[in-house]
Amino acid sequence: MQSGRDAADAMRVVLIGAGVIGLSTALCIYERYHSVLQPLDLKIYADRFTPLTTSDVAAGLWQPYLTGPSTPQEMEWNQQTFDYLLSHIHSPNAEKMGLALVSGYNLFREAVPDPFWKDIVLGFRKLTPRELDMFPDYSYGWFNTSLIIEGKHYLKWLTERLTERGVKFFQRKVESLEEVARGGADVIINSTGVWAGALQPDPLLQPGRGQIIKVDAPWIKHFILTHDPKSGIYTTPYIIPGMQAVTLGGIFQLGNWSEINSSQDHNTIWKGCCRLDPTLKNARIAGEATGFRPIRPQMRLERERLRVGSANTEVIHNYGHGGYGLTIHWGCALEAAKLFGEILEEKALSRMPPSHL
Amino acid sequence: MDTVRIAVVGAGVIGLSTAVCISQLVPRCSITIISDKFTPDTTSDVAAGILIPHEYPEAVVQRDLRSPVLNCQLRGSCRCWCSPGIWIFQSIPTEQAPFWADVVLGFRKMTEAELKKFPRYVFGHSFTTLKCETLIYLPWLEKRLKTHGGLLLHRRIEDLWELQPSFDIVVNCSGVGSRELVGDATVFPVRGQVLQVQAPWVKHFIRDGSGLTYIYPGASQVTLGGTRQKGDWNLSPDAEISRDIFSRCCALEPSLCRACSVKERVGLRPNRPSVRLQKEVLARDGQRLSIVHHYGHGSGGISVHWGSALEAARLVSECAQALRTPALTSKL
Repeated sequence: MQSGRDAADAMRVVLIGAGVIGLSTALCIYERYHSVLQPLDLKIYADRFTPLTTSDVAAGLWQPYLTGPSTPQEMEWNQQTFDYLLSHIHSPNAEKMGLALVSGYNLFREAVPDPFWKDIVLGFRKLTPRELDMFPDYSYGWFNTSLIIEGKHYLKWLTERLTERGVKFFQRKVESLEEVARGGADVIINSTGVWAGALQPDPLLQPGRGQIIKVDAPWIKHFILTHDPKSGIYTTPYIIPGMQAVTLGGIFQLGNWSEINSSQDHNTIWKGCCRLDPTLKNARIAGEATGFRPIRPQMRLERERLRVGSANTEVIHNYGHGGYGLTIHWGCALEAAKLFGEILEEKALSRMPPSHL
Repeated sequence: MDTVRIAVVGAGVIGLSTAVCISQLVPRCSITIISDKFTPDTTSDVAAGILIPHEYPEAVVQRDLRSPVLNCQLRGSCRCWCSPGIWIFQSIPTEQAPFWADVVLGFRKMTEAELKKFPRYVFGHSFTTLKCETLIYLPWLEKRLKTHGGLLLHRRIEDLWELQPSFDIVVNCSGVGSRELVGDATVFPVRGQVLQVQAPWVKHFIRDGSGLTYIYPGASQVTLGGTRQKGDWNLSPDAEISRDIFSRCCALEPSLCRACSVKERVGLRPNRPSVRLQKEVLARDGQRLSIVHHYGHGSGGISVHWGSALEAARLVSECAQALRTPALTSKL
């Protein structure tokens, strides 16, 4: 790989989307390639920034789906993310990053097989009968220690790191990838989450609408997630303590684009969570929000070469992480950075004089 | 005798819980709590209130933590919550599992991966216990008493005999104050200084070895500690000790350096070779006063309070029955 490219050959990178996927990918690419590419011209375009992104609505608990990952690669990316976050847990910056250890319960009405991530989290074990006594509606469950990575804090922290490094942020609504290509981008990173379909039709991508209530209940130190395999993930109550407030949830509506907080969903959440932990009735409601999980049978993390006019623009798609974006973000950022590296190599090779072997 | 008039001296966790137990056990009695300090100025208010059973396997301990009261009622009324955490050791303890391992929830050894966070520590337990938030619990106990007709009086008592003839039975729950109040030279303070800080992201307690250093997250603050200074009666916080506590705790949980709103507090643990749970009758000039002593719980007051209070209430009930039985009324 050549180093010290001159200004004419500077790589102009535009990253679209400023949720956790976008910002972490930007940071990863910057860290890896800013010394190789001088200058690395990295811009971030987004119409929404924290605290208005999907990542800001998520409770931030690290936990993949219960059913296996789509690919062994995804298993690795989950592990990489957990390890990366865990390595920061003991740093004085943990709180600023929105990072904290948290333990808790996964509850079921019948015995289920252990999840694929049981050796990634800490201290995974089954619940004892006495523990299950605390949850009369459930007869089986797990206890483990995991992490909170809270969107609001984490995105703010990522934004600060990127700004320090000279990455520029622009608020704009991008209408198409071509528009960005025509604007002069050599590489576009598409991390637009649930709205990726607006840039390029993707029938596999759908919103998995979620609504949450934030409460002040500082006595709650555990997460409690309930599961009903029949009704599906996120459809039954969950209680997740964060850095300050506690997130209550249990809503998942595929295909629903309404961003308005529904009072019916509010009641469903409130009833379900108070039944799970009756002490919640003394909690003060601090807020409510709706977000769209970017649901896709499998996330899209791949390259695409776009022909715009007479030029080729490289696109790296990184979207469709469903309800596990925070859980898998760092592994995906590393992978996207790897794809970026391939692009750089190809471009370098295309500029090298023919071999004289 | 119709209504037995009972005075409880002391309004910490022992005094208040004993009074509540008495109100449930002894029929037709009136209860008055008399103390120079009430919450939030009692020794109990300084304690973090984490239920890690006392060193000695007293029967009251086991009964306490298994008590349905603690497991359901208190939890449901928001005074006692599940608190997960770890107890770590720099050298392998002789006792690999304490006697109370099956009393707390989910007791297990820490994994290698979990211990990696603490390079100087080689062993640890992980479990979930209960934490009693005294700043909320004591006012709740007071309210319960008042609802049942109990009275709270701010007064400093110099001699239990002052309460004669207004009361029939005096329950002495004066903690470390018993040294002076009843002249018990076996009671001595073990001074504890703590920092109460705002760090709501800390969800797990961390107890270090002997328990001198600890981090106990609560509902309204995180308690950082501590000290064990025998025979030290000084209730004023010491700035250098505060710095030392903070530094010890930040070594275990570096994110605490970002904690804010630090309050320094001091409590004097009422140490005694054993808890004094004993009846006594004071007699002077032909008058009698029944006493039930209930003090000297050292650092285990909150951990054992309910079982201990039930025991004390039983003794009070015996006194009340004796007073009500005509054959035993003194004719001196």
